[in-house]
Amino acid sequence: MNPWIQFFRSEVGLSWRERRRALLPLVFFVIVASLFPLAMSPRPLILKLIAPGVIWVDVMLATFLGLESLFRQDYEEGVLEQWILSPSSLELRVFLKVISFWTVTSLPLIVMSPILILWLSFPVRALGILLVGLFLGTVTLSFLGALGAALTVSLRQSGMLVAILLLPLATPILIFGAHSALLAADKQNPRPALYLLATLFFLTVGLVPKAISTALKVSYEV
Amino acid sequence: MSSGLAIRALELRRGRRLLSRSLSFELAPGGFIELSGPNGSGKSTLLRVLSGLGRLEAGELLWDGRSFNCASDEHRSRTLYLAHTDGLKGALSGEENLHLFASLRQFRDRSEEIQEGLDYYEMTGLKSVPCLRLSQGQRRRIALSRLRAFPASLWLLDEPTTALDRGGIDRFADHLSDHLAAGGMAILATHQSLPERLKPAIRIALGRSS
Amino acid sequence: MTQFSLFFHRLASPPHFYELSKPWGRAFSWIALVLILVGLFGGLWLAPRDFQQGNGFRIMYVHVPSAWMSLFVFMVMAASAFVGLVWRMRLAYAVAAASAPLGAAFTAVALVTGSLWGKPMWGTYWVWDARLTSELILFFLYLGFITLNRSFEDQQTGDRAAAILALVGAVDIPIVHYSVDWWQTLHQGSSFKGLTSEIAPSMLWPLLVMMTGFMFYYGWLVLWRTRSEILLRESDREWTKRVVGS
Repeated sequence: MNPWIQFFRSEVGLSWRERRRALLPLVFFVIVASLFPLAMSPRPLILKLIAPGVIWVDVMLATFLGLESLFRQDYEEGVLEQWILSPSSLELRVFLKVISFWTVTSLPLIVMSPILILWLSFPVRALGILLVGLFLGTVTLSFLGALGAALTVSLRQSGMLVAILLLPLATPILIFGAHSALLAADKQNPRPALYLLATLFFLTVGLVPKAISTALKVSYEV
Repeated sequence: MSSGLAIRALELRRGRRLLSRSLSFELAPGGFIELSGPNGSGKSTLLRVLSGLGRLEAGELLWDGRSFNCASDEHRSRTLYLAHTDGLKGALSGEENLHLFASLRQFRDRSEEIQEGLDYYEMTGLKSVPCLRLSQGQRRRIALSRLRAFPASLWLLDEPTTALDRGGIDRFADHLSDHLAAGGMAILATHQSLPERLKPAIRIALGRSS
Repeated sequence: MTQFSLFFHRLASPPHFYELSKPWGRAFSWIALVLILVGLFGGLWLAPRDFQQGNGFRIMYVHVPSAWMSLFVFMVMAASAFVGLVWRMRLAYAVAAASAPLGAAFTAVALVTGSLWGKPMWGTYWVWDARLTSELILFFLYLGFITLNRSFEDQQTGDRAAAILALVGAVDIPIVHYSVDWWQTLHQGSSFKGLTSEIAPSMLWPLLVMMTGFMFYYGWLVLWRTRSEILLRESDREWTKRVVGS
């Protein structure tokens, strides 16, 4: 078997073994969304207006929540050392790790989001745009979150710090993502927003793995 | 042109602290170096620099007379580094860990060698148990099986015999002798005394001067 | 080695920089003082009242230079971060670490003066104006950099980690600006466009003087702060002991 495929399978397998941990972001995602109608108003008119924003902020927080400890265990067990010392591309390894995280943690969020849409009176016809946006957005956010996790991997208490690091970086994704859904719900053209989101997607997927692998090396370079 | 590894005027630092101002030595194929010194004297730091994990502050490194970069793939594939931590995923079994390691080292199929390595360190019976549930000594044996299953001309071993029982230490000593006899090199940091029959080419005591 | 790179290497050596920065810092501080006084005099007394905003517009003489500096300082940080990561220059990390709190302070001043300016303009202290919003996000980025830089036991790790963040942030800032602009046009919020396109020379020159003054002010402070940053980073080297001892 190709070593990269073997590596990817082993990563997905590991996340699957710890699926209970991977479930937490999903539960968080659902609970937070259910709080908004309670905190604001159950009136569909209001809910419809806030639905895209609620779902997108919720997805962002749930993704970051799960990502904070992405490299923590590998770091503590000394496996990350072996990654860095491996005579092969660390960037590609990081890329596969993030994708395997996304598959186990973020994909369920996307699958679950239609249910939240019902709760929040979001028009069903705009569902397609929302899902495409969420796909592009969660992958991008996963890479950014992995960067935050890599920068703080050697710190014990890092949850808040990661949030401070990531939120400014994630703002453009939130703006374009939430507005693509908002425009679609409003029967306006959501394409420009999606194109911008896709641009950020490619930019992030192209550049951030390099930043992540540099950050991982830095935390070992004491 | 001398074959083997040569270190010239290496400066060792941990953080801001200077550990060694200028360290020089040469190691010929078939020999090994025993590093000793109190805790914090820079044994691990030296191994990490040579492995490519740590940063080289100042100094020159030569392999077969040619200067090299520790972070190059060429150096990485000829070196195996074993740290304090065994580098094993707790959720995976010993065998799975070795297969994962094979994928890290870009090997396609290494089942036979992995089997042989586990056999050698008498871990065949426990090869399917998650490493989480193994004792420290058993984990160390699996980590050492790596050296058996994957070829490398330079071993960098940080306290390789910690937690090993007598039998384990003997096994390791045999293994190291084989490695050296085949023209390999090794640098060991250790507190424990190694079996008599292992005679290091050089003993380096760190930490007194600075 | 060419003359220039020789000069560059000498400058980058911390002890040399430590010596050199003292007279330069002193010169910068005097230039900054003179320029800022002249700029303030020109802006607050000589410049005529704005026919729309009355005297309220005069806050611009602090707001615009601060906003400009908030971006400029981040670019300096990103450039130093790059130099530090690529050429492993210790001085560069010290410059980045010294700059961050200054940049954050400029950003804070820009935010506060921006909202003060907003009160007569929009009738409220805070409007989600595109520029103010970008400035706010920039402020968060600065906070992230400062916290990350100081979170590690080993300062070098903190320096490098924060340098990576600065580089990613430098790519992010234009994207944030663009996204916030885009978001503004979508919601047709109260965007504020006065004063930038057409500005009378009598109002403009004090602004330019103030901006130059702010640059020198930053130059002075960053030299001064970098001196203490390198002492901190080099505290166990011989030359530091000599300097501090004497």
